[in-house]
Amino acid sequence: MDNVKLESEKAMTALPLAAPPNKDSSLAVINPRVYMPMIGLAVLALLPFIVNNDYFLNILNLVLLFASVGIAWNLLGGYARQVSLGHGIFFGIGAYVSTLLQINWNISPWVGMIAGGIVAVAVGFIIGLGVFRLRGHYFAISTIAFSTIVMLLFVKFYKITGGAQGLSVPLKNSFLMLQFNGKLPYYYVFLVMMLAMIFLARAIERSRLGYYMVAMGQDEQAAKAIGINIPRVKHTALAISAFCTAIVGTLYVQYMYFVEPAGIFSVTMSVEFALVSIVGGLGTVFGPVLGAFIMKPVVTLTNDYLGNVLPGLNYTIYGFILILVIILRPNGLIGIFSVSYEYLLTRLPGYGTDGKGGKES
Amino acid sequence: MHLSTVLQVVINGLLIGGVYALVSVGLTLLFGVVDIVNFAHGEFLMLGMYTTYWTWSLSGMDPIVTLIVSMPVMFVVGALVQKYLFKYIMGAPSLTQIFLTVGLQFVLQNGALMIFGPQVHKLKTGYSDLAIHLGLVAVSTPQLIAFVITIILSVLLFLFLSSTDLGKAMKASQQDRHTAALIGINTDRIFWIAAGISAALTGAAGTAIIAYTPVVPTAGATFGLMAYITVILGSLGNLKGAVLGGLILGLAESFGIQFISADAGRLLSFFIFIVVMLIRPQGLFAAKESV
Repeated sequence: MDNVKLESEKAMTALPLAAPPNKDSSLAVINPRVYMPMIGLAVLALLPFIVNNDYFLNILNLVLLFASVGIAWNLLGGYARQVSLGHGIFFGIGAYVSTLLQINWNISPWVGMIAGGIVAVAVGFIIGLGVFRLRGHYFAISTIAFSTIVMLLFVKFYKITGGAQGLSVPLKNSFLMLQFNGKLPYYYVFLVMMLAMIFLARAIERSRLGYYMVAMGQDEQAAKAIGINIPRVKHTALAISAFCTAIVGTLYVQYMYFVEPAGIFSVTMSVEFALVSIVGGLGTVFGPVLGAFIMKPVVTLTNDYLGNVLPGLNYTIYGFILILVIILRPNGLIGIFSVSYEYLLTRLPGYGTDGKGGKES
Repeated sequence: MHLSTVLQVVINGLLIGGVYALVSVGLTLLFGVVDIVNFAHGEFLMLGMYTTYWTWSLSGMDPIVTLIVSMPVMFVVGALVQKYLFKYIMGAPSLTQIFLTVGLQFVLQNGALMIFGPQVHKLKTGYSDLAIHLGLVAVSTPQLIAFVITIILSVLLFLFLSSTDLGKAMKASQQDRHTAALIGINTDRIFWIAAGISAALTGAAGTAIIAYTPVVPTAGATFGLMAYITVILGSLGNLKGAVLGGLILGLAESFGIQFISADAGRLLSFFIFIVVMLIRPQGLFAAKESV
């Protein structure tokens, strides 16, 4: 984190393009740009009490998890445009490492998630050596190949991993072991994690690394020509992305209590991480959040209410949404959302008190 | 280890690989001509299987004869998908193509689940459990039939591309679509015909394997995955590469089943794929080479 901050400060002096931090003294609480995010945060914090129902709370928890992992995927897939379809590897490593540490040595998942993150970074580095020379379809398909290899290895070495039957998290109801009674405490843990991911993504977006990633994603040859160290940027983006994905993986398994190779390393899992970003908006901080808030409830609700009548309807709708978004709004739905948000701001009391009416970022 | 074991493993590998080859030829043809990698390709195989299953159970004709139904049906499906979907993403970044076709995969796979239900259908014929014994080895009859269909269709495709006007126009569009359009080839028409042939070949693969493969909405997923690996291994757009790549991966899988374990046989296939990618990122053959 410290590194990222330093980079970000450097970037502000080096790159005039970076939006200057709004330290205006006139930027007070009466400005909608300040109080609207605060209201949003308050709504998120109180949401479990508004819905007050385990069923919807579970959906919200899944939304927060997928928003977080979407943000992590987006760092590599969105900003740097390295379209990974193998992020299930890092997610699964996060889930497996923390669970295995618990089962074998009774080590808390709070420690295990960091260990999982480190293992994911190491595995990611090796995979990166292989796939970063490839482009486009070749890159995407190779990442699928790697996730299949990892899945088969987990099945093959069943003495260590539990094999195809999967592993269950030992039940130890305590904060220290990252386990809670009921779904409510998980909501706040996941919310804090999502906010942390948002801040991290924002910091990276405004850092030198972030600009390098975007430049490389737009045109690798041109980025190389202006002196960007391409392999280093790719590996750094992958390391951060893999670490964050693994952390969410640990939280996921602590919530589901179960992990199996065929599910967690499947192409479908990896594709879902990518989809929340694509539907929401690639290479934007809030795109994956918006995508998760749209896609996850659609899938879960249609399955729970219509799954008996029409099994498969949920993912059929999911597929249709994806096709429509790609054809009609290739930049994701965040565009519509931010335009309406900007419009809403102009209608709110206190608009313009910071002395400017234009867009901030 | 006995010679007979090695021979048996090789034969099994070729039989598996033949089906991969047929599925991959369709995929690589689509890429070569239309420049799209279709992530819903495996689902075309699944649709071919359902077409065959329903034709067989309604008419009672031999499953192999249902090729006369499954291939035209899938040709129409492929052509429609090209005309109303793929047309919009030709020339788009690979990310757009990947996720549009992934969306199509979701729709086809789950649409099949919605329409046909989750039941596993098995098709039994008189020769489903037969095997031919050739000296040291035994060859399963339905797998052999599938392999023969693969060979016949691949040969027909190569003949079509090299000796008919339409095939030559297709090859021309594959090499350079702008020049092809300049010399008067209706490339739009070529594109939907190519997409139709691609889907028809894959549907035929579905028919070919039906005597020994259960029919379920997810039946195409594994074959789709193997086809992506195969076409990359054999260089995207290269038809001969797809055939050879399919056979190589089939052999690898068969040896993997024998020497690693039954449930992790594909480790060897994927391992070979990764090694090739490290040494020759462009694949074993030249990309988009003519037939």
